[in-house]
Amino acid sequence: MQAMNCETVQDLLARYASGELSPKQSADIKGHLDDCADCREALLFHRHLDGRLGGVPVPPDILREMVLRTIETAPRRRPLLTRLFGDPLMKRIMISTTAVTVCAAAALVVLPRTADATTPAATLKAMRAALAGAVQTGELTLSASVSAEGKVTVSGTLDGQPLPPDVPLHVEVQHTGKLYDIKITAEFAPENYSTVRFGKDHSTLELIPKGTPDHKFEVALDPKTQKPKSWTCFDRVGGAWKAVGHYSYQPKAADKSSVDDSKPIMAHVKILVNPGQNASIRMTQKS
Amino acid sequence: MHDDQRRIAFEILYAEHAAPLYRFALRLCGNREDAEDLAAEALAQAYRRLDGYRGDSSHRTWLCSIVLNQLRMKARKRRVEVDPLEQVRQVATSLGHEDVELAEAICGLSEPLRQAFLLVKGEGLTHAEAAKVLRVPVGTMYFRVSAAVRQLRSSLNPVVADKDPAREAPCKP
Repeated sequence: MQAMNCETVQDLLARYASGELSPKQSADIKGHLDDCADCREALLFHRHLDGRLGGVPVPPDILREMVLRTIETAPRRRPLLTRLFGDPLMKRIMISTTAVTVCAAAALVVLPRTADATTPAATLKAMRAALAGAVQTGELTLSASVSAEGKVTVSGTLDGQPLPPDVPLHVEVQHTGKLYDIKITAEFAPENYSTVRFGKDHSTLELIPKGTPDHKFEVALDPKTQKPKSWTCFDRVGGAWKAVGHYSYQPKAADKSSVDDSKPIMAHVKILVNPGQNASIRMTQKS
Repeated sequence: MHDDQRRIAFEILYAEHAAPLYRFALRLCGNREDAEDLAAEALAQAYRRLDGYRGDSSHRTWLCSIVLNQLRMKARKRRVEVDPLEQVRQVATSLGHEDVELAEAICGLSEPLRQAFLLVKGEGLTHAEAAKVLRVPVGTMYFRVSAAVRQLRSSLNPVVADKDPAREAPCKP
């Protein structure tokens, strides 16, 4: 153990004298004191001080009366709200807090909101929910036509504009004679994509469908509605991505009805096809 | 708590804490009238909270905190005029045998050192308790008390001033 020097010991003497040190520290100091007259003298001074400070003056008689008077005349504790709003500092805080709150609320109303979703997967999910809502309101339509030869063609529109070919529409057709039973599902599940990531500045969502590594599309979402406001398709040509199609939309206000985003965006309809005629029908999502 | 119980509790509180609190306040401000005000306010506040009184050492710590808070509020409200001679005289009355020499040395301490010294050496609070009262880290309290004692030792025994332990002088057996 390194021996303590006098400075360290004298710094510890107040605690040594009052018994605040650990037994080990006390033993070390005692060992030092046995060999050091200067520190013994310093300890003596501590003890001497304790004796000189110990006097307790008799408090003046008036003190008792003052205490009782203070107790009797003490103002009744004001209610919390009075205490809060009566305090000048609290008034200033309340005024400034209210101003900040009003400004923040105004900013929320006036300024476009950023997307609530903070991850690419969550953004994709939000877009899927927004599109499901658009189907319910008729903003997004899915159509199917059946030719006289029995060929089924499916298409969709968003805001009256054609849906890009990349929108994954899964079509299931069953027919009995002239009656065609068609189910269309638009699926934006993350597991259908090998890549789901944000584009530059988080302003677009980049999606590469599984099985088509040389094709991708970027969707720019409306921050308020989470619906696509533009959709650009790319093909990889000679190692570089080249835009091959662009679609833009004017999303309507967000649909306020609740949308169950766990369900696929699906349409289901039955079409009766007469020989030699095309049959076409526009469908909206069934719940 | 019934009125009789409260009266008895007040008597116990007053008997136990009035004298030490007055002493602490007097040594802090060096003015009898201010000391009476500070002690009276602290005891009145303690009385209002008698229901929570546990009679342990934390109560003493809390009372000292009230005195110091009141002192700060007084200082904020009005400029405290201090007559050095009167201050020494009043502090001396709080010491055994009216020890003017020690009173003068205590009044010569800076306010942070004096408050730390009076809480620990004067009122017997532990360094940790005193650190809570003054809202400083306990390490700061170690330093302040140690520095205050060194300064008092130098003031009261000038020969000690030449003995600076920092010089690592060889110990005398």
